[in-house]
Amino acid sequence: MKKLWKDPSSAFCLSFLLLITLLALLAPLLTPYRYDQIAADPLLGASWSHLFGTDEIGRDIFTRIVYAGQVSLLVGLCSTLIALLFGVVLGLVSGYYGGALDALISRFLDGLLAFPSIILALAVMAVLGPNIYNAMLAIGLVSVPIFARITRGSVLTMKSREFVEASRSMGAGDGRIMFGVILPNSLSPLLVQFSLTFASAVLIEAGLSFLGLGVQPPTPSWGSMLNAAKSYLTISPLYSIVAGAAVFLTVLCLNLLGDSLRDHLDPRMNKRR
Amino acid sequence: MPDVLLRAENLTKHFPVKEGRFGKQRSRVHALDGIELSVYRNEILGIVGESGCGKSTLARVLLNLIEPTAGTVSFDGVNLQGLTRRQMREQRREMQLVFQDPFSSLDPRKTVRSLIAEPLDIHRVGTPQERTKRASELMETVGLSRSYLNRYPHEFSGGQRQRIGIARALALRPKLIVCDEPVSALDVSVQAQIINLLQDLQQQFGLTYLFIAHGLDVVRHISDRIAVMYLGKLVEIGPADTIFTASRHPYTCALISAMPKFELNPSSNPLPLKGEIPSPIHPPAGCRFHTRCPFAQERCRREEPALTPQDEHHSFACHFPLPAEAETGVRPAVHA
Repeated sequence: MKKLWKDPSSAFCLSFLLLITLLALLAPLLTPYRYDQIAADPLLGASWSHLFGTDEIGRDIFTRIVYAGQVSLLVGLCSTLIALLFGVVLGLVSGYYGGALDALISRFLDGLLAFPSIILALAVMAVLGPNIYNAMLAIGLVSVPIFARITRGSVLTMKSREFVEASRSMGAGDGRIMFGVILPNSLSPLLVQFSLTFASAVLIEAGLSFLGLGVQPPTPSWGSMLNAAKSYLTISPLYSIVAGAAVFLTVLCLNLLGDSLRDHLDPRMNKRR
Repeated sequence: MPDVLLRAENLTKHFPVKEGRFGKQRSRVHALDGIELSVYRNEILGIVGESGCGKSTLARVLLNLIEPTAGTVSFDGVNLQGLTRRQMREQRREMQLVFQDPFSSLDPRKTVRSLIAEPLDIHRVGTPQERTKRASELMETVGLSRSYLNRYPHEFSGGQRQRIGIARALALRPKLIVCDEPVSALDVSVQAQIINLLQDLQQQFGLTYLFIAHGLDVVRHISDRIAVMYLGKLVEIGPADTIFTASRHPYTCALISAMPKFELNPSSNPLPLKGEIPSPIHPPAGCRFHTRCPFAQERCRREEPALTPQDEHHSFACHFPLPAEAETGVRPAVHA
């Protein structure tokens, strides 16, 4: 973790993500307005009272960006956690037991991977109906196969390691071997993937909201704000820029962080440096 | 009749391998073929043989870590193949394994404390405090400082790591410890220390060892009896002294003559072995050793010799055993 702070790009990413998180968490303290409060005339430019101006019905954009951060980060985090949980369990089981069970799980995951993730998430949202919890479920489901594959891969390499056999020879049961021995030794690729999936989850959430399938108004979301802003691109370009930059920078930072995590955690990459 | 702790009957293990373009042709690796073996209580039984002769498979099948293709193992009168998975896990308290490579057999993410206490955790022996106490006692027993309790395996040398592995095997006070080449990954100077430690522990706790090695020199020092394996078969078994001074099987003699020794006049004729160990996928017909045996005759190619007892303790599998007396000139001189 200390190494990450020494690397300038990952230090920047970490600080930006920390800033976004703090802004989202402290939203009520940072702004005098509510996110659904009509505070001034519509489509004002930047000023001291409205840092990023106001939107099409006169709500403060800064306030809405900050509150939208809550939604985006929460959806991103929860859906990644859902994906991690199911992916790890499926990957452990299919890698550890192998055979027909492995074939069944792997084909199911291949099926999920065959769809572009945004299309699959769209389909799930269309079935479940648009709200924040369904968005988490849909985005989580889309990301399950990646975690499952990574876990399965490391289980397959770990399974033949001698310390796993040692645990078995001492009388450890399957659950203990999977969760107590194999999983702790497979954490680093999962951590990297967590960061990358978090990024894509934020992106998919923005996409869904852009299409009106994510979080419903008046709750703000970066995606739905972008959608609203695109109609006023010429009158109030700042509106689009700010909403777009929020998504863009968050996703970029998460991706860059994932990359530098991989560089630091993968011993093979270390040697090349 | 000595007290039998572990008994293997007709123990056979074949691993299927796929051959041919589409993996349709199935062949089998004959890792173990019809092994008959008894381990007596409180003895150290050495098992030797070249790489690939099935020693490690034997260790794992005896501990039921690998299911045998045929045959049975009984431990303390209990047939291991008849146990449920749960019963087998319980049974593992009595039988532990020390691994060859102390670098790969210890989980790199666990501290020494949790490594040594792992068997106690698994079988829920005592409270966590008692387990930690036992772990530090065990560290002292195997000659490590208690202050290392919270260190990780990568901070230790090979010999120290093997001591951790031994402490872990001792934690549940097992009856049997199978040592799978416990010193072959270590420096020569450390090997002797580990062997002495194992010997001390055996006396202190009344343990039974199955001690696997690929060379006779290692087992010689420690074993009460020695069994020699060749290509999945037991070729000779007997008291250690008998194996060294009066072995009858040509393969055993070849192994003995291959031992490095200090001699002023190398007068004894070594018994050279030709060629490589044959593939266990297609083992030779008849006596498996006939392809390399200097004394092989027609009968050896056709007929497989059975392991026949010579006297109460000494058995070997050979149609034309070497003479029992050591003055033929073929037998290499062995200096005690």
